[in-house]
Amino acid sequence: MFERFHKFASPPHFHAFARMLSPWLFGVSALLFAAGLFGGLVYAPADYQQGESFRIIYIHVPSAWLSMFVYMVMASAGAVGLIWKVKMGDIVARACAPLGASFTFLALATGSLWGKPMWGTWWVWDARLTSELILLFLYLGYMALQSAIEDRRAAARAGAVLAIVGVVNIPIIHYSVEWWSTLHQGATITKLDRPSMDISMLIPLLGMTLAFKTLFAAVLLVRTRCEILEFEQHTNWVRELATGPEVR
Amino acid sequence: MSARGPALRRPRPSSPTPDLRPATPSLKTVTNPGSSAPALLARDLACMRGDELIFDGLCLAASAGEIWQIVGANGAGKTSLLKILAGLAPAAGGSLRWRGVEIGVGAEALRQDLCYLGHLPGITGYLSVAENLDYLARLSGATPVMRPAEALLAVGLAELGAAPARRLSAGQRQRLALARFVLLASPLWIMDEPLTALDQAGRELVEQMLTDHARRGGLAVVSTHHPLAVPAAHLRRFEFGASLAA
Amino acid sequence: MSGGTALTAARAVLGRDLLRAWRRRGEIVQPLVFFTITVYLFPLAIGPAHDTLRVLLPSIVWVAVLLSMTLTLPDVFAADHADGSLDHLALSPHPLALLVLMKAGAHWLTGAAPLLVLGGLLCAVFGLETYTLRALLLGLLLGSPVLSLIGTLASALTVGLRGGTLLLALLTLPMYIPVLIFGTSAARNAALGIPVQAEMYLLAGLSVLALTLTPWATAAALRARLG
Repeated sequence: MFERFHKFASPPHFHAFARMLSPWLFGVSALLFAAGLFGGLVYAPADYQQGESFRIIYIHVPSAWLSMFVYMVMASAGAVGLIWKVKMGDIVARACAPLGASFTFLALATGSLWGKPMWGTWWVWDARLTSELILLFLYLGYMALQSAIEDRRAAARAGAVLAIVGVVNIPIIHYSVEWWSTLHQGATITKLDRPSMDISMLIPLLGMTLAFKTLFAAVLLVRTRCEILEFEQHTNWVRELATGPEVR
Repeated sequence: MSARGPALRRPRPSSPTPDLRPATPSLKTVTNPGSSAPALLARDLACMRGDELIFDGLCLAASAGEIWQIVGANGAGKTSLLKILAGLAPAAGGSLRWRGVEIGVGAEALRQDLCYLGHLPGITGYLSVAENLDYLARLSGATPVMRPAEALLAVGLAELGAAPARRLSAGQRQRLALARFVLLASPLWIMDEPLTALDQAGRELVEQMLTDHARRGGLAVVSTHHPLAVPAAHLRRFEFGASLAA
Repeated sequence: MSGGTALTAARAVLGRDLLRAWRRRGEIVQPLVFFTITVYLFPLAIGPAHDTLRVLLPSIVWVAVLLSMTLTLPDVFAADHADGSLDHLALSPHPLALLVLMKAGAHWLTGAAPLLVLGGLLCAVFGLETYTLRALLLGLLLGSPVLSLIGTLASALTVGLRGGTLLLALLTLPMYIPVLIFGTSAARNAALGIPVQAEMYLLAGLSVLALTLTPWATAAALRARLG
């Protein structure tokens, strides 16, 4: 059984597997988006305090969750590549970075759009927003570092070190609303407690989160395939892929 | 200088037709006839520089008392090979053992025994000659076998002990880098182009150092274009991209 | 000379960096000049509103410290990379984390500590009241090891790269933000008479955390870049 997973550490196998899987993931993601958006925009009742403007939560919260999730995927993949020298780890980590940066930017932008009607300000310097902004800079720094180093493998190793060091930021983002008094609302969903949100609003939120997750997975697979080709460009299987099978 | 048989290259499962494959040099494998287990054993080393495969399937078995001369065209991968042997760069594949311990896990054992000379002599300009030697000696963790002044005398820099290193010529810097080899009793010497910038006397010095080192049972891996005048009994050649001896 | 323990090697690294800095002491002054100019730009920009300046002065000093650090940080490994002695650091049988810690320490002594002294002097010249000045200096003292340590890590990641100085600034400044926030918050609270123990403890805690974790990360970064 372990051998089946072992196969995915080989770039050609992962390439083929990703090619097969990503259309399905796109499909599932589209369905989940449709369901989630319907639930969030139509089905869920208007908030008694905020009216209709709370509905941006259905984009804002999943992207914020994803921004942290993608960072952990990136750091973990980088660690796998750095410590166990698995090439796919390096490749996946490099593929994750722009996606994570996009989610972080989306979270900050939608949060900003939400903050204006709710708090009266586009931005406030509290712990959560500041650490989310630091996360965006971490992503950008990671991408800048990788593109500055020409040797892709050395770049992947250096990037992995940077990503691992930056993991410190993630608990800060997550727990900042508990540790510091802040304008940002507290955690809605905790593992052990009943959620503080009504179930009719909660279900679309979870649906949108799944939609974002599957979209991330689908796009990650596509990007990983591209990165595999770039990492392995001088190998035979890539050349055969590019030029067609050799006539013997 | 014995060559045994054709290159040992394992056939790869997805073995391509020669046209598609990047030009991989065909490599000779030379093993040490006779004596005990080789001190430095490299098997199927592969090296990547950026996205390019520099070499693949390289095997080397070196024992005490040998001076290995690595020759090859520019860009063949001599410096990369030496860096891998020194543990500075990771190999893209294959295994490397020093005294039976796998490098990567047991790199400390290698570093304890190693004296390395790279392309740049590693001299700090703002320190004096003696201070440079002292710093590198303390960093290497090896016990010096003579006083620093004696080592400087041996390489011909006796009067320059207090001079700032940035005033040295290229040849004098090279001699200072060599002084470290004289000072420490490291079993393994890895030198990348040690004869650079040296005059005739300097070259003879290096050859003498290598000969003494081999006679004491040390192992040296040297990459150089120049012919090395060392006793043939100690000298082994490793050629990149050489056609096989018939 | 004895056979060489790790401490001998560590002292050798620290001593060499300090000696090199001393012999180049003319060049060491340049970041201090940059720091002074940066601090002086703000009164020129703010205008003759002296009260505003006094309120903002600790924050200005902190920002100027951060920016000046990014100028001195590339030198931690750049000179070694240029003359080839970085390889010898990696080839030493002694723990690279320890040697790298010594390099960070040397940077703190030659790059950060002078900034602290100069910053205090400038604040005194500008008439900052004593209690705030003390909070500012103590915050800088407790927070500057983090700056040196994280900066050394970023310097190892970007050693020898084209445009490395700018990239180093991009990497370090976001990681400096927590230190900046706590340090300036301490100074602002001190000016208002609020006790500042919390910020000081946080800064000290960050320093200890950085001291514990960054040497290994920096060693890994160096080996990643050298290979």
